[in-house]
Amino acid sequence: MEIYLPIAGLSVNVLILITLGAVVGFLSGLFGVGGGFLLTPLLMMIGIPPAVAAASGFNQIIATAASGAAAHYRMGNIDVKMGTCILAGGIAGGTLGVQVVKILRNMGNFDFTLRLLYVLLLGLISFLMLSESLKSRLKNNSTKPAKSPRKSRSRRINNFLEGLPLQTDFPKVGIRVSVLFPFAIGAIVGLLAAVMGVGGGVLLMPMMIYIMGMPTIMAVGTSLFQTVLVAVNVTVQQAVFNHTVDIVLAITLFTGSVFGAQIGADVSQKMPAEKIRSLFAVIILIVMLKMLFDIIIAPENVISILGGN
Amino acid sequence: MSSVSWEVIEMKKVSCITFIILLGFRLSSALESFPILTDSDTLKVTLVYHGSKVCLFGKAPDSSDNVFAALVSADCPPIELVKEEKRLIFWLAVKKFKLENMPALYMFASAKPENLSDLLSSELNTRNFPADYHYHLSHSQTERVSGKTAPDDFNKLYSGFIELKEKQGLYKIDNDGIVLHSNGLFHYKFKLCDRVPMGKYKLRVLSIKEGRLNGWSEAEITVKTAGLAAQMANLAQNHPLIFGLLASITAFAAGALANMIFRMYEHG
Repeated sequence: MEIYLPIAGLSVNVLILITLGAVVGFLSGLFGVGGGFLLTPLLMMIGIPPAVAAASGFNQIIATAASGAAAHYRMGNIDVKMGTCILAGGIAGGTLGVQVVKILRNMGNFDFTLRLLYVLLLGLISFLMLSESLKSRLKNNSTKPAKSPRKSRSRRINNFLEGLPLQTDFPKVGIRVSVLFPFAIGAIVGLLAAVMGVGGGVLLMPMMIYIMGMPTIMAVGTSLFQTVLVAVNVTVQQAVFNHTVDIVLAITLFTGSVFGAQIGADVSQKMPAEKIRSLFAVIILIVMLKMLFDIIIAPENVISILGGN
Repeated sequence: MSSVSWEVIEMKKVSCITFIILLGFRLSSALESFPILTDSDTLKVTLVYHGSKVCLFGKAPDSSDNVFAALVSADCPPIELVKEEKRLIFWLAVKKFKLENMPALYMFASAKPENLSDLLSSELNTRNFPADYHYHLSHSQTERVSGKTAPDDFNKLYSGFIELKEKQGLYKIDNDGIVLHSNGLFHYKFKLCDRVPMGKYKLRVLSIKEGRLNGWSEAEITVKTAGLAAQMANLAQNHPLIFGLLASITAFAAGALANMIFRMYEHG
């Protein structure tokens, strides 16, 4: 059963897309991440032009993030003040990112840049997850009590954060930090969102928890809140400037992903965390290696159409 | 002396033009128009489109021993191509070209492989009939947009472009695909892939007898998006802001709906 994607200009088996959405949604629910960093490479592997894959994959992030953000809002897990600071940066970074995509597409190197960024990002994530998993196993064997995230922050980072101007209180999460810091990380996340089609939770979460010292549950809710709004901004801009948002592709994907995410969240309650982390790291590593091969192995045809379609 | 030679040149010019007109008239008048029929003259690309077939039927003049059929897109929009080369350990786009006058879709079929004699080639050229890739390549124009010149760039560009199009299913040469009966009846199916570009297509059919053209026919086929696919493509192209907002609102609503369904499910 095929479905024609009017913006990508090709047909894809609808079951493959729904399954892909469900698998990414499942992994997203299982590991507590947006899943955009896995979805875009997988879409590229089934023949979707990279620019369309990144923009439409990001469009479907709105659905999964909105679903999660609504639940966290009900539970009072969103710090709107902090979320707005990150969001302001995210909108600035996202706007810049859309223009970067336009320039790279005109140069003909968008595909290469996207693959290279994915190799770096996925490589970093899988390395961090594997080392985290290893540390947990070692910790389980030792009797030392674990440090809290704020206490584990190094003195240099503390000095840096405290030296920044515009220090502001965020009473809901119980921290004081310069508004410039959440704005800056929001801008980086927004830039990556536009170029790579990732929600940015994977980068935002460690920053919020380990650097700013936010409670984990508040970080999750606030991250999802800003992801929804950054995703709306990037989707609209990609549609206006690059014409790369395929709504049919996005709808088909989130048909699977919203359900997959709920199932994944249920399964995560029953599976040991370390096992989940190791498994996830291995999946990411496989996708990363595929992307790496794509840019270092000689292509079958050295000629390609600019923009992929 | 100079005025005499000028008159001679002018006379030669007039003779040449007259000869070409007469030759063209002779060629066109010598060819018999024959009937062809396609199962559809408009292909609608909807959300369930996954490629289609255009069935061609016809009756070539008696004793024709071969039939050529070409389905070519009428529009040849300029296309930008990039050439990848190895830099350090990575393969990346280092050269950019603009290619013009190459059709977006080209499909050729014949009843049997035919060696194109000089005479047949000249007749095909007179009728602007593309019987192979060489016709398009000789009519194309290439411009280097960026990157350093290398001697084999253009050869690699053309062969790479054709390979790319063949892989996408947009260029195809089928040298013995047409079924031709002894009474001149023939039929063929053009298989169009899902990536078929929207627009008008010219279907031209020629019949051949003993290495010379003896009949011709033409038809036009339109490929266009229809229904929801057309509305979405139109909205995305002409009202991108509304399209972007619609995409966002749809996704947001889907997420909220899923959340609501699962809450209801959890509460029994």
